[in-house]
Amino acid sequence: MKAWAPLLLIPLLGAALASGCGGRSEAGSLEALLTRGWQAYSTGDFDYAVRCFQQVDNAQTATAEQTYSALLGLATTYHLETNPDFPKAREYYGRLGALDSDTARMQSAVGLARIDVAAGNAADGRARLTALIRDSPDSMEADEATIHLADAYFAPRTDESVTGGFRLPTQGSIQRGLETLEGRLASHPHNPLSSSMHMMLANKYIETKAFDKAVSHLLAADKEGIAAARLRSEAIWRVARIAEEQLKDYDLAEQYYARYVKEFDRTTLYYRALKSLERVRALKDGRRTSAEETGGA
Amino acid sequence: MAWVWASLRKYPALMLLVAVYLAACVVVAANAYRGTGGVPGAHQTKVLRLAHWQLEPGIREAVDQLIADYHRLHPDVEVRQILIPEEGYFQWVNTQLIGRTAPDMIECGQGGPVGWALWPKFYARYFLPLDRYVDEPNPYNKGTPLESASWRKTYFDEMEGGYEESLQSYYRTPLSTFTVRLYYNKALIEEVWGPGFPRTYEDFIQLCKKLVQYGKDNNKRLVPIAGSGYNFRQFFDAYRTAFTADYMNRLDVDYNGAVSRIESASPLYSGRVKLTEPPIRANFELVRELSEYFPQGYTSLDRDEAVFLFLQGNAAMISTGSWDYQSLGVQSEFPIAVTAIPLPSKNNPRYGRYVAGPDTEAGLEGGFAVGITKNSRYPDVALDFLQYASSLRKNEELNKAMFWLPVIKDAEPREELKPFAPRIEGYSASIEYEGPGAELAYAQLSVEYLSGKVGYEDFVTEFMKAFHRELPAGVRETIRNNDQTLNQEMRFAGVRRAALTAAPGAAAAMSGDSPTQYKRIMEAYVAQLGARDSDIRDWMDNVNASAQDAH
Repeated sequence: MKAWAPLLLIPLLGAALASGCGGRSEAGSLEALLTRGWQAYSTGDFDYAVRCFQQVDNAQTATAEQTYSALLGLATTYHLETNPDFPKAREYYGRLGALDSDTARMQSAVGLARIDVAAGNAADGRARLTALIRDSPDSMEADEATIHLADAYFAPRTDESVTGGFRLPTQGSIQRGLETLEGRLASHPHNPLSSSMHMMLANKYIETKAFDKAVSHLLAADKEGIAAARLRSEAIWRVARIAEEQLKDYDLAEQYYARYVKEFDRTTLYYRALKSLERVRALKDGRRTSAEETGGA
Repeated sequence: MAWVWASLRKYPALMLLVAVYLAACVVVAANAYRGTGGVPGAHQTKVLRLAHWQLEPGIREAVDQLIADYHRLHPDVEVRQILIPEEGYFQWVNTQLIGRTAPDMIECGQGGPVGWALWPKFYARYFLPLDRYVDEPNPYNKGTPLESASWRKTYFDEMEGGYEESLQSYYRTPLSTFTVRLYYNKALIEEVWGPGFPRTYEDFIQLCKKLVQYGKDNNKRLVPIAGSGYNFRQFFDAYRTAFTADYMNRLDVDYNGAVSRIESASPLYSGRVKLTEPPIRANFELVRELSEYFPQGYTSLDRDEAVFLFLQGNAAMISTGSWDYQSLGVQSEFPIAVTAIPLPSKNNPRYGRYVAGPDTEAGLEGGFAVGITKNSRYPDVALDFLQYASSLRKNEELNKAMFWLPVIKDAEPREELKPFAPRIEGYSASIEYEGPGAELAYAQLSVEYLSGKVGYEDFVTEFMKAFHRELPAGVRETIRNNDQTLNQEMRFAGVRRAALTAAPGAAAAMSGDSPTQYKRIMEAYVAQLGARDSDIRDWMDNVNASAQDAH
């Protein structure tokens, strides 16, 4: 009996293999777990994402890359879930930063800085972002850090003690934000986020009514290539409107209204652009006639 | 073998245990085999379920015809419709999704303000993103002029109706599109007014007066316009756009071509824009005048009651969408025609000078939009069915049968639906009267004004009191919601950034090209940051102006 009893295990193993329990290596399972974790993270299934990432983090056989992915997943999930858990996010960003990898350290720095800013420690957050941009100037993380640093300077703060409920940034703070973006664009003019940086500058110049600078950054963003069609149409509309209303540059306004009409005929602003094009052409004709009359006189 | 049997027969209990154990192994292995698409069940019909709320006459039959055509091509696939009444649809979908018992395909987007807030969460959690398919050609367009176009580009709106802006992904397959028009009882209008339909608001009011008189003369219960709160809103919005289109130049402080809720509300709060300004006052007075020709107590009537009134011949006109064309045509005993809501002419002494033009339909997007649930057993088949339904020929056939407008380029609508073709010329609304937080007060007080209980000045006084009381909290709430959207965008940027840094699993978890998607998300993020900062500055400027005025 004892001699053949282990034979009973054969069908069990066969069934188990058939049902897929042992069909993949553990490395493959960890990879699949990470994929499921990132999927769950992106679809907002945060508890499941954490479970997947933690299993990989606990696995003895996880590679350095897999551990990086798991720690990044855990940190960003705790950071960006609907009800963020900042202490846990800090803990995992901390562990991420301790890995022997420049990418991991930079991802950790961006995450910790954003938590600092969100938690009200704007100065600490700005210092981390500034250090990252200074120490790793050619990294993609430095591009994103530039945007977060500028936002940390630009963003109004909720303040219940103020009538209206918000405290606007000081002029000095706005200036530092503008310098951050302009500095990055001067050193890395065609970085992958350059269109976003130009758009951010344009937004702030419109807000502070420096319309000529706003238009030049909108034109630069367009030149760099705005990936989202809606934002591209918005940029072209803004150039035309500001050129007409604020700069009285009717040539530029005509050029951009005409472009809007040509490229975006299925948007709610199409007819306005068409009418505006007629208007600026009439204004240009009026100017020309007036100049001719003055010249003739 | 004999010696084995001789040994085993001494242990009957053990034999029974072994037999049960072996049977269990067979069951596990068979189930696993079936799960990987093996022989058991392989030849069974694949049943897909499609849930929607389109209970109008003719829709079910048209979709059934589409299903039958698809079944002829794919005999192993059976699609079944689940029709849920509109009233309980959102709750039903909610329950099915949470219970993981949702059908394979679900019509998306219904549920009012609660639904608008929750659908993006549903998409993210329960629906299949379509990004990896939209840039590939639709195989069912083979042999048509759209053969080489990407699936997205075959749509008249480039599939904007299927795109979820907040998630930066495609989740829905639109199958039809809709516009709103004024339907009228052609025979009755011809009898009262003569041939044609009034082209101006002035003539329209004359027609309404004649209809009232006609009812009295014939001792007939007749109201000119079948109205409910729902239908009236369409009139109100058409005139709001016409009268306030020019406010964009004053209110759109960030020049992005749209007036946000805070941009609209802030100057009303400070008094830089007043509800007593002539164009706004004219807007309210016109709709007050028009409401005389709606049934008494129309604001508390629902959409179905208004339709019933029209079909009974007790109302001469009704404003509704192209989705009702077939049902009204089938159920009415009189010929129906459609037209645009007439605007005041430029010569109108009271309103003419304020009218910019009609509201545009250029930004129209596809509707009857269907998503594929992640728990579907056959998501690839569901996708194939939706591509079939949105192919040039089938989309035209389907919409001709439903009496709806197709969504695919070059697909022709029925001849009688041509008056519903989207109007490209026109404007978008540029002011919103109910500010954030003051919606309830507006709903209550505007009804009192429109029903004649209070005059315009009293309405404005009472509403502005509520506006000042509610707006600060409403603005803070709006900004908080905006922050959640920003957080969500950063979440999507996070996984794209992880993919770009070669974090294992991240790239495989997402569809689409990560560098492009990352750039797109960051652009949307900075645009949202800019809108937030501009809104807050605009709000604070107006708060300070209001405080200075108070001093």
